[in-house]
Amino acid sequence: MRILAALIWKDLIVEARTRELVTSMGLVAFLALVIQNLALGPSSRLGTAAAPAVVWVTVSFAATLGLARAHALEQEGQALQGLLMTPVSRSLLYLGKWGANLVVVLVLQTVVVVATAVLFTGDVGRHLTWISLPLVLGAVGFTAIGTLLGAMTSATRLREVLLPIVLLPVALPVIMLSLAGIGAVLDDRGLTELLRSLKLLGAVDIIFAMLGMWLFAYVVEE
Amino acid sequence: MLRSRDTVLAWITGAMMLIALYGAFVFAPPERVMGDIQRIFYVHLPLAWIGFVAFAHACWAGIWYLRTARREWDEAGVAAAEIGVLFSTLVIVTGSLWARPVWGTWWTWDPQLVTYLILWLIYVGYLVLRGAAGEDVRRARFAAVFAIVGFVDVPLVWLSARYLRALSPVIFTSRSVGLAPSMAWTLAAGLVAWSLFYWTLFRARLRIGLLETEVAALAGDGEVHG
Repeated sequence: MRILAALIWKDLIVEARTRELVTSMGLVAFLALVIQNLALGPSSRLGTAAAPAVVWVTVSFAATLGLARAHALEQEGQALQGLLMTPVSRSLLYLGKWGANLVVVLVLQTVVVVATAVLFTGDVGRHLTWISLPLVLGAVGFTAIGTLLGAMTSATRLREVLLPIVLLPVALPVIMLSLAGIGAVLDDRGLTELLRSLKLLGAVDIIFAMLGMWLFAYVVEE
Repeated sequence: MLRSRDTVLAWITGAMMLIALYGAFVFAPPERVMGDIQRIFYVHLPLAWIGFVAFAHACWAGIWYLRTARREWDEAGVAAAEIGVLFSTLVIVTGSLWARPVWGTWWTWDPQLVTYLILWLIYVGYLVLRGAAGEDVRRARFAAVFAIVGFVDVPLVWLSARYLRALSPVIFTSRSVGLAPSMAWTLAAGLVAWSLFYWTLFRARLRIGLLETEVAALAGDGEVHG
């Protein structure tokens, strides 16, 4: 557990010093929100209806960008090579990387949700507490599989371009279930409906995490 | 030895394909509601099943590659995935051709369709990944990992697409229709024919892959010694 915390802490300190990831992801996300808002036009009804979709479109693309960059940084600094020499199991390395990525994506989500609540007048702001549950579980699954695939694509020729191509279709179940959960909250369909989608989402998260812990070793081994 | 066996297999496949076509166009009666349009199902359904089997095959090859690190499994994986992409492309095309006159639309976001589309996207991604992965061992490892992830993802996509759709009104329900015996036989013949076709293509693609590796190894040797 201490090792895991140290691994996550290391990545977060690097990020805190440069603030490269959070700044660029946040800006890209904000730009995407502005474009989508303009594209939807002044009708507030349309904006309200589209808000959950807008949140996930923005988060998934900006997060993919961030994950690609995070793993590219590691590749450039050959930080992973150093870590692989330490007597830490590959699964633990995966969990560390996942934890750090998750924190970054959660920060991104907070920025996007707050910006959406401001830009798109509607229900998102009022239901913030309940909406955060499917969003957070969605981020957990998205980064669980994104960490595995990001480590893989950063070692290829296409790098940043390849990650969205392989990550987005695979991460789709998480996005769909998270949207179902958000929809349940916004349409006032009650707690049981929300819990059902959260349960499914949790199950998918666990499957993704298990895949990551199993396969990460094959991805990073030289 | 290998070649002659493949030739026999190809001949059997060809004959079976003719039987399946005869069944689809002549033997099976026109469907009561959809008429002749329904005949595309005798191609569409077998393609969909075999396409799915091909991706399962690629996943299986991926697991064995990771366990044994033997080249043959990598070549088997890419052969299965390539044919799977080909078949699933045809599934989507034939499905659209059928849906246009019957549903009045080329495409609808029905869970089955979404699942197949995502399946297709995942394995197209697999082929792009292979193209970009660089040196051989790493490419094989990455491809194996992604084939496994992609295939495990399929039931999850289906489940979540169904869940998301269940919340909004479903326009088209299941398209399973009771089959007359002659129709069932035609479908079975199609299934056998397309399975054989898959196996023939797979063996041919596998042989090409192994030959390519051999050639590359020989060329590499030449450079080292020369």
